[in-house]
Amino acid sequence: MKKIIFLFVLIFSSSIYSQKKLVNTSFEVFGVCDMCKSRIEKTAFKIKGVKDAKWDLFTKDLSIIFDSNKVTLDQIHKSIAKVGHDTKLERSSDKVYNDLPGCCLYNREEKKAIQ
Amino acid sequence: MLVKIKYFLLFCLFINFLKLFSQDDNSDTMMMNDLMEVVILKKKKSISQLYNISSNVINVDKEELLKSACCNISESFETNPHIETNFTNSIIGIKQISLFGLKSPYILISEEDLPSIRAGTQVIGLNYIPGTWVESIQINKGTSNVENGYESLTGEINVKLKKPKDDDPFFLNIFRGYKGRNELNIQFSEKLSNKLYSSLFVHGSNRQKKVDKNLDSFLDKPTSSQFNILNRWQFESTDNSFSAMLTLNGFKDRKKIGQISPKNIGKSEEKIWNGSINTNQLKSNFILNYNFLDRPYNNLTFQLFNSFLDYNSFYGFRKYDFKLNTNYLKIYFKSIIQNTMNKIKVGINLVEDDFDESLTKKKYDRSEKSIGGFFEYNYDNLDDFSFNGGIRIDNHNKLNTFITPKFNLKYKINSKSIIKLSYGRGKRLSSIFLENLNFFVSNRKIKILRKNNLSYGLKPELADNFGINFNYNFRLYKKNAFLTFDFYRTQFKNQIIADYEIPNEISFYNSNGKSFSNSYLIEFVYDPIKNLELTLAYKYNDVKFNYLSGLKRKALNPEDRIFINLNYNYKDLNIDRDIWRFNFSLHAIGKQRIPENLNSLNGFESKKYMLLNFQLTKIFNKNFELYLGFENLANYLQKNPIIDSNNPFGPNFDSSLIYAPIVGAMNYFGLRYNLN
Repeated sequence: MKKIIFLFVLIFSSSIYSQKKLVNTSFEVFGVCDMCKSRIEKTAFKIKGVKDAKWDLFTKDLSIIFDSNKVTLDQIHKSIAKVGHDTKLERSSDKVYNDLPGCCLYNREEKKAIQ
Repeated sequence: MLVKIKYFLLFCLFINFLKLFSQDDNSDTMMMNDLMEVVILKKKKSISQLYNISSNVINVDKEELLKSACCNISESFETNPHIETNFTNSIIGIKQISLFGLKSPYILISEEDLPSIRAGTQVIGLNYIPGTWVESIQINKGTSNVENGYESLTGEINVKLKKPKDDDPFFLNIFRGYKGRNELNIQFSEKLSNKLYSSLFVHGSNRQKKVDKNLDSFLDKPTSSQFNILNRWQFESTDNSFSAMLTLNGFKDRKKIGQISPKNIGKSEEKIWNGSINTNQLKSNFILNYNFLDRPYNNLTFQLFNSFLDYNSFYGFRKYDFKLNTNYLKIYFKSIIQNTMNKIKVGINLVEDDFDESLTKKKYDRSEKSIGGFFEYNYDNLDDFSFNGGIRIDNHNKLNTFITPKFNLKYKINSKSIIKLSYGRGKRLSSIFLENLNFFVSNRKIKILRKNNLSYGLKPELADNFGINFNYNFRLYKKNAFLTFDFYRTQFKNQIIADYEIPNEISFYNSNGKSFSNSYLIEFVYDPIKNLELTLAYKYNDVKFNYLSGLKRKALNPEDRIFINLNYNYKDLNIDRDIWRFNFSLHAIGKQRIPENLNSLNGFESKKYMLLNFQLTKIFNKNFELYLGFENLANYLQKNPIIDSNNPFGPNFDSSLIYAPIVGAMNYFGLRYNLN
């Protein structure tokens, strides 16, 4: 039983006192459906240093927590644009955008016009 | 069995038939499906399967609880097919539930995620949570979490009460039932400061009218009075890092059962069979939660539960007392490995139960202590696969050290179908008398076949539970349809059986062979027109117990159940609000095996019967509504529920073989008023 308590304390303390510089932020990512959600989040998680990523279907906001010693916000924008989803900072290539499944084709032109 | 397969095929055929006529255009299915998900998010169903987690959980909202008379939680499962509601002895006035055809003590029942109704008290505990206090209920089929101990054998029911912060400032509910059942619920919630909120809920109910419709001289339902009070304090720090909840609850319940006054049956006072059941409980539940602000996925929770339950009763010559003092501490920490796709949970539970139990003059006192640690890992690939696995190690003063594993996995086959698998093991020491209150209103002789030196001389029960759950969402006539298929197998080792097979005798023993339950459910939910919801379900519970007299169908267990529910909300489009709510439900209960008894020496099979319930609600404005309902509309009754009721002190007197309602058609009405 002592071992269990020891393990508990060990896991607990290691997660709190680790030397990480965490940034908690959010930014807009264009997308339409649940397939987009899965793609955006999966891409974010593949980036080393990303701890948490949640994309909201309605607000289009990607809430993200990452370790700034390992990755920068710019790099995250780039990675997401690479798989077909535009952000305010990065635009994905037309080829990748056109290869997205039909339901994922967010209205690109319109967004441009507004800006 | 063949007949069952036939029914099953017919059911499938029926659904296919409907599908044939559906105008579902394949080309826009994908779009439809995506749109559909948006719609579901907007208009949440009052009862819904949780597709996003790997275990099979059905969430029941407070709106769902409005659909039945629902005075307490044990009655709230009547509008869905997942939990079976049964008729035990209405003579002692306790409604029972079961899962997979197995009794409620095999279900782990928790309040605010802490197992608070345990150790056999499940049979009475659910009767003391008024429906109006409840925010939501989660029904978890199959053993799922390791965090709440090793005692769940079939599943888990978690009850969340209304939170002071989100609750209406004032709520009033008055209910009047036909057989003199009155209820009053008054609830206040207040914001005391930016950080502190509080609620006070008061419930009072009584039934004073003595009813004996079947003229067997026994009350069909006990006369009763209950007072129940709950006080909650909720604290939230301004930066959301600290939150705390303190819940204090106490109730007092008095019931009188037995023969009605001597004048009516021409006997003197001494020869009257009567009884009384007094139940009191005091409990407190404290939760302290710390959120790490920069790392919201890290979370530390401390939960402390203390309770004192006192059940004291007499039934004719028999006197039965059960006192339970429980202290339960749970501390756990949630975190991640690398990222939030890999979540972990580690924690410890410390449990102390002091039982003070006596039947007539014999004592069964015992004290149980256990300490356990658990580790749970959850993986979600954010797309089509998720896995949840856990293991716990416990050290118990009566059961020594043992390991309990559990796991669930979910796979999304395509955008319309999801499959879930689960496996878990459970172990428990039972409170044999409390869990079988049925036999108290009888003169059956009690026999215990002792095997060891534990309190009753019985070994702990062990069960493995496997489950498959399959969900299919599709469009039918351009409307949403949901099809669910469940299969759960529970397999026992050393199962403790309460054996009613020999008339005049009840024996308790550990079964040597393998008792099991195979439970199949097929459910079809469809919204044919806007605001109308139709639920059709067929459940087949194949439960066989290894009695001393051989492997037999479990007594008093209907193998087949058909459930139909129709719910219609009539909306006034001008004010965008429901103004009428209709709810109709039908339960068809299949044949049940009745053990050998004085009235029929070879035992028999009960006839199948139907129960119909109906409720109508008129909503006047967002604060006020009136409702009216009928239960058991078809008026089905068991003719002679008490064997040898003329001779209650003789050896044959027995009310433990009840398989159908004793009380016929009933109506009720009530009002709900809230301020917001």
